[in-house]
Amino acid sequence: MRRVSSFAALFIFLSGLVLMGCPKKAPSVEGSAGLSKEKSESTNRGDQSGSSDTKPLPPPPKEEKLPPLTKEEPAPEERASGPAGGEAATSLQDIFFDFDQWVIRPESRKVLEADAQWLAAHPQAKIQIEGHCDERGTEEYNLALGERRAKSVMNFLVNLGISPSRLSFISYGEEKPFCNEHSEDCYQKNRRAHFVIVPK
Amino acid sequence: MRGKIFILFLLGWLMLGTLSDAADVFIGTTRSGYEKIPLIIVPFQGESSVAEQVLLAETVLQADLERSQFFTLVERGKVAASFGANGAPDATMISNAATAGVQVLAWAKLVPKGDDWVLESYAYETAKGEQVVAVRMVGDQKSVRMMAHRFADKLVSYFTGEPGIAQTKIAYISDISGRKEIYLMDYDGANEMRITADRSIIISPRWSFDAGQISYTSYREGNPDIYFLDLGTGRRQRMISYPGLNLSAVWSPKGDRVAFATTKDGNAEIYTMKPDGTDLKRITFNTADDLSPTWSQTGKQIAFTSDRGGNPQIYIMDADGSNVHRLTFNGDYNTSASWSPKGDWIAYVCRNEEKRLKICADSVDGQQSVHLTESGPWDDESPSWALNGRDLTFTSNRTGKNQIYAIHADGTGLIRLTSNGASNTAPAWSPK
Repeated sequence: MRRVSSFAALFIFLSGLVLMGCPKKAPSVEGSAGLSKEKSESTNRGDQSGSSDTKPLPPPPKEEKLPPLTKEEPAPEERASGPAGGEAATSLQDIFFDFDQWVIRPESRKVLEADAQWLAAHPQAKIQIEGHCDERGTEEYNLALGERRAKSVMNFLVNLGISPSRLSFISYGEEKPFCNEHSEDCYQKNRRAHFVIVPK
Repeated sequence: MRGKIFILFLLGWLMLGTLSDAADVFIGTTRSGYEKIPLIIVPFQGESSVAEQVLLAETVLQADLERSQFFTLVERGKVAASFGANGAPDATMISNAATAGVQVLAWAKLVPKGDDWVLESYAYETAKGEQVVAVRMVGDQKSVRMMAHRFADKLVSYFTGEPGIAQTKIAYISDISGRKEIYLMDYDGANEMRITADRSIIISPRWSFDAGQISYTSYREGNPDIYFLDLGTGRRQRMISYPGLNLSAVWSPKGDRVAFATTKDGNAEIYTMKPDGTDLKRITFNTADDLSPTWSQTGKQIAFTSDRGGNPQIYIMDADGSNVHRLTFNGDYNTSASWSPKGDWIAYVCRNEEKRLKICADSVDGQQSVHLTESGPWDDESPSWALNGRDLTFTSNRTGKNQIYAIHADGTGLIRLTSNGASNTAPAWSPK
């Protein structure tokens, strides 16, 4: 019962993440780190006795700890969950870039580490890394820039121990923007690497 | 003596480094001081039932001749009309025209024939006092515009020796259907027609040397691959599909080679191949991105974008990849080169100090560099030359959404070709 409720909490939380996936404001890196932090809290709910459920709980089964993230085993909660696609895509946080740049910002490294942890916890998942640009700049050169961004992220994840066979990349340049306003805010949101689960 | 040499050197260096206004430099146009040919369009003959078509033909002809920059269109009132029995301007009228300083009379007859139209078009040279051009055209009822365009091109080539562009088309990308698809339109913006239905992301249409095919990049199968679309048969074939990017396949002017860019080697490199996809040859070799090739009119050289110097600039190399040298030295962002069919200028996108994209052009010898479009808080992109080396088309978002424009190479004559509320980009001017 406890396991189901923690799964429900995880599902509710991740549904919330999906709804938050189209923000009006530029998501700050701090926000991403904050989300990651909340996520780890909720997955630990199975270990806590302070549940917010109002239903009376049956006697708790033996507590299960999550396996260490370095082991290539799926976490029990994840196995019980639905198709990996919907949740996973929102668990992997986007990486943002400076204008004309494809270098990983220092503050993005933590985000990539969190993404790598998720990937390590889901060894069956294969992901495609999309590279995007803002609308400034010319179309073809932006396609090359988008590819460099995607590959920067890919290389970083490989260096963190993710197998390259799980990773692929694609560039959309400025062709698939996430927002269309002609503002610095929107431009920053578009200069990103975005993760997509590849169906098997 | 040394001082004088130094001053001469300094002056020479300053002249070389000067960025000129478009008005100071002529690019592929006739020299300043060229006299436009005074021409009058004599009212076409046609029955009252075809009055609308007659007016259309006259209007299209007038617009084409004015756009050519070779003619001054004289008002009808300046020359007293006088027609012969066949309805054509007679010797009196030709003489009247000569007196009025008009050099050419253009006249046509529009005759319905079954389901078709026949346009008999004539030009009279007042200096010779006689008819010098006579062309009979037959087309269906939708062809009146194109027949008038053809008449205009005949006049341009007869009187100037230059090729006309009135019959050419512009391929471009529009999202008016909700998805990016490729469209064609006449060079004056009429007759927009969709030619793809990929319902995917499409980039960079390019014409084949004979205007029979269009190459483009599409994500329809999940990766940016290059397709060739045969305009005659409608058949589409995927030609280049390496993992990574496959971009902008461009035919050499004679059609014997196709150049394109791909990132299959880990970064963007330029390859050439035969048009059937065989005989692949890599011609750039460095860890920078080399892309967006454009052929010289001789087919012996290729200009392209490379950031081997740290940021994107235009370079030129021989068609086999040798003799690479840099063309652009102004600013930190120069891409999207288009080589003039006249061979002497290369248009490209330059980024100015306000970080806005404009259309620039450099002479191939590296001596001159001009801005073709004006400064302002908008972006101009994707320049493409017309076959005459005197006109270009490009994209601009100066009115909000991206629209397609045309401009003369001397910087005058800016006109907007699209206005359908969608985003219209990536124009490519047909070579025929």
